Amino acid sequence: MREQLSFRIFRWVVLIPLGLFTLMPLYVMVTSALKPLPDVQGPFEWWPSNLTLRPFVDIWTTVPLAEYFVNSLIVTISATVFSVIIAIFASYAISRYRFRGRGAFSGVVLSTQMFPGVLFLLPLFLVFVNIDKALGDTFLYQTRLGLIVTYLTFTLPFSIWMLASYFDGIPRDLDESAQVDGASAIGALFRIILPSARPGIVAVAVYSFMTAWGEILFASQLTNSESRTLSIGLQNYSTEVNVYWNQVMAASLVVSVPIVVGFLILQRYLVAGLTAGAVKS
Amino acid sequence: MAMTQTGRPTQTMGGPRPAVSAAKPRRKWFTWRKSTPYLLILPAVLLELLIHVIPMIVGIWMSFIELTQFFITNWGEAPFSGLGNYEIALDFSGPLGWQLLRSFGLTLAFTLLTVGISFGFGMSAALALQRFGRGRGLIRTLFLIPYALPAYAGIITWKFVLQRDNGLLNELLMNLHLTGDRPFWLIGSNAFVSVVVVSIWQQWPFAFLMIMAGMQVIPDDVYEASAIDGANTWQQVRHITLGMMRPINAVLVLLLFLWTFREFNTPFVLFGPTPPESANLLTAHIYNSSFITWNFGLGSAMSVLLMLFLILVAGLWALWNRRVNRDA
Amino acid sequence: MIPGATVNSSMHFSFIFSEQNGGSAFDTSGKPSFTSQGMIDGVRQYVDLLSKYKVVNPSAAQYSETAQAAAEFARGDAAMYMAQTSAINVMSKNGMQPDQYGIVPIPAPAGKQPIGSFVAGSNISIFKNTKHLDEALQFVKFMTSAEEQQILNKAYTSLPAVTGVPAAFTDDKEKLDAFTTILADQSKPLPLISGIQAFQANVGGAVVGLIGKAATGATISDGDIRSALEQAQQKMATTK
Repeated sequence: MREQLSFRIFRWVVLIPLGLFTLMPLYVMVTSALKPLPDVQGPFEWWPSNLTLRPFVDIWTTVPLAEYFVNSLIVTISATVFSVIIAIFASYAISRYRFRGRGAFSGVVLSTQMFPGVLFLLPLFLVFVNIDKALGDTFLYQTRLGLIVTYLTFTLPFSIWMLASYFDGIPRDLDESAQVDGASAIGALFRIILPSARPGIVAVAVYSFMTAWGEILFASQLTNSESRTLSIGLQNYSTEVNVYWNQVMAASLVVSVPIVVGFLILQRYLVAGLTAGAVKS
Repeated sequence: MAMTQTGRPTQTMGGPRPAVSAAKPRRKWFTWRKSTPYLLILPAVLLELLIHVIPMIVGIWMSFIELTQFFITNWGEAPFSGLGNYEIALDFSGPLGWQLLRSFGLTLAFTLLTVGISFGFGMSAALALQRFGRGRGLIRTLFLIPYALPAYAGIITWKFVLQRDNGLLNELLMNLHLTGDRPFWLIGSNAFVSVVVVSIWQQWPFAFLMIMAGMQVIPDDVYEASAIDGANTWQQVRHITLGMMRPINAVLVLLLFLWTFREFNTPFVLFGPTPPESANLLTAHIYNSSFITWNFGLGSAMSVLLMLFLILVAGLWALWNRRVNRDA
Repeated sequence: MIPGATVNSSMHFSFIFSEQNGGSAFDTSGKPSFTSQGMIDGVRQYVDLLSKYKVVNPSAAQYSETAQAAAEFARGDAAMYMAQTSAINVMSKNGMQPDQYGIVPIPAPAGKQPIGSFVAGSNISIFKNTKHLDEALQFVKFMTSAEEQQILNKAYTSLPAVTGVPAAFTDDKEKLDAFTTILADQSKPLPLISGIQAFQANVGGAVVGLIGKAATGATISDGDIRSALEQAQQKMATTK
C-alpha cells in the first residue's frame, strides 16, 4: 500500500495529540510521587521543587502494600487460569456441538453483561455467607477463594464469546482427521485445537487478568484485611485523617510497572490472537 | 450475538458413526457423545448460576420489598411492597423520580459521547499505526498505559489536573492565554465535560487494543489487490478495513455501551458521593439516593430499571445486527 | 476554609448554623422540618461565607474530602478552618505544628445563639431480633468501658462518650480544654432519629449543591435554599 501524503499527515495528527493526552496525567502522577505531601496539593509546579524518593519508601509501610500485591497476584492469576480453562471447555462445546440449550446458554451468558454490579452485590454476599455457614468455616466470604470464584465468573462471558468465535475459525477437518486417527473429541481439543488457538487464549487471558486486577466494587465487600487486593488497598492511603496522595501515586506506579512490562512482551501474541478469533464470527 | 451460527454442517449429535465404533457397545458410546457438550459447559453453568444468576434473582426480589437498615439482618420481616419501590423511583413529580429521569438522559449522552469518541480514537490510532515500522510496539504500549494503571489512581490524578487553582489544566490554559478567568472543571456545567474526558482517557486504550487486533486479520493481499485496482489509502480504509471489521466493531461498540452506561468509579472518585448536577450519572445517582441511606429495596428497583434499559438496547442491537447481516 | 463538597461536613455546619439561628432540623415529633426559617437562615449563613462575604475560596466547592481543605489551611492558604477534633492529627501530618495555630469555638453572629458544635459520634446498636443478646450487650459494655474509651478516643482523636473518662487525645492541655469547653457549653446534640443517615445524605447533599452553584457565580436566593431543602425533605419520606 503506497502511502499517500494525506495519510502520513493523518498519522501524525492522530498520534501526537493522543500521545500527549495519554501522557499528561502520567506526568502528573510521576511528579506527584516525587513530592513531599504538602507540595502535592500546593501551587502548581511543572517540576517538583522538593524532589524526594521518600514516598516510594513509605508506601510499603503506610499500608501493607506487599500483602495487597501478593493477594492481587494470587487472586488474579488463579481467576485467570481457571477462567480460561473453563471458557475453553465451554467454547469448544458451543463451537463444535449442536445441543439442546445451546442457544439458551449463549443467551444467558450474554445477558450477564447487562447486570448492574450493585444489584447482585448484596445477594452474592448472602450466598457466600450461607454457604460458609453450611460448610462450617469461612471458605468464601472475604477470602481469596471467594474473590477468585467471583472474578472467574465475571470474565467467563466475554472469554467464552471470544474463544467460541475463535474456534469457529479453526476448520473442522482438523478435528475430524484427529478423530479418525482414534482421538476422542476431548483429545482433539487438546491436541489440535488448542495449539492453533494459542493466540486467542493469550488474548482472553489478558482480558481476564486485567479485569480481575482492577475490579473494585466486589473487592470492597468481599475482602477483609487479610485478603485485601490492590485495587481496594490503594484507597487505604486515604484515611479519615489524611490522604497520602503522593504515596497513592507512587504505589500505583510501582504496581503497574510489571503490567506494562507484560504488555510490552505479550503484545505480539495479543494482537495476533484477538485478531483471527473475533473476526471469523 | 456472534454465537448464533448459520449454515454450519452439523457433524455432532447422535447417529452412530460407521466403522470406527463397531467394536464399542453402541449405546454407551452414544450416551457419552451426547453428554459431552453438557459436561463441557457444566463448570461454566454452575459458576454462572452461583455467582451471576441466583444473586441476580435475589437482587430482583429485593426490589419488591422494603429492605432498609432495619431489616437487613432479617429479610424475612421486611414488608413486601410490590411495586412500591418502583413507584417511588418513577414518580416523576417527586424529586427522586425527576432526578432519575434527568440522570438517565445525562448518562445516555455521556455514554454515546464516551463510546463514540473512544472508538474513534481507537480506530484512528490503530489505522495510524499500521505499517508504522520500528517503535510501533513502544507506542502501542504507551497508549495502553491507562489500561494498565489502577482506575482509582488514574481518576485521582485527573482530579488534581482539573482543580481550579492548582491544576495543570488551568495552568496550561492561563499560560497559553486561552481564557481570562480560571474555570471550574469539577463543579458546575463543565463537570460533564470532565467526566466524559476522563472516561475517554480510560476507555479508548481498550477500544484501541480490540480494533488493532481485529485489523491484523485482514490479509495484505486484499489491500494489494485493491491498490492495483487503483484504490487510494482512504478508499481502502473505508471499504476494506472498516468493511471487513464490521462484525467485531459491532460487538465492541455494544459491549462498550453496556459497560460505560454502568460506569460508577469515575464520577464517584472524581466528584465524591454528591456529583454536580451536570454530571449526575445514573449509577452514582442510584447509589446516592438509595444505597447511601441503606435503602436497598429502592436501590435494587432502580438498578432493575437500569438493567431493563440495557436489555432493550441489546435487543435493538441484535435486531439491527441481524438485518445488516442478512443484507450483507 | 470549608470542605465545600463534602457531604457530612456540609450537614454538620448546616446543623450548627441553623441552631445558631434557633432553627431545628426535626420537630418534636421527629418529623423533618428542613424548611423552617431557622434552617433556611442557617444554610444561608453557611453559603454566604462563600457567596456574599467571600471569605471562602470558591475552589473549596471542589473539595469532596476534608483532607483537601485541611491541607489548604496547613499550607497557609487559609486563615481559618472549621473542623473537628481530628483536625489536630491532620495538621501535624500536613506539616503544621500545634504551636502554629489556635483553637476557638465557631463564632456566632451577634444576637444569635452561641452554638459552636454538635454532639454526635459513632453509633452502636443492637438488633431487636438478635439471637445473641447477651453477647451483644457484653460487647456494648466493653466498648463503653473506661479503658476502651481511652484507647479508642486516643486513636480517633475524639472526646469520650462516657462520663468519668477525661479527654486525652492530645498532649496539649490548652487545646484539650478548648474542646471540652465547647462540648460542655456550646454544643447541641444531633437529633436521635433512625433516619440520621438519610438526613446527612439529603441535607448534606442539598447544601453541597448550593455551594457548588454559589462557587460558579450564581446568586443564591432564599427561594433557592428553600426549594433545595424542600427536596431534601421529600427525599426523607422515601426512606422509611
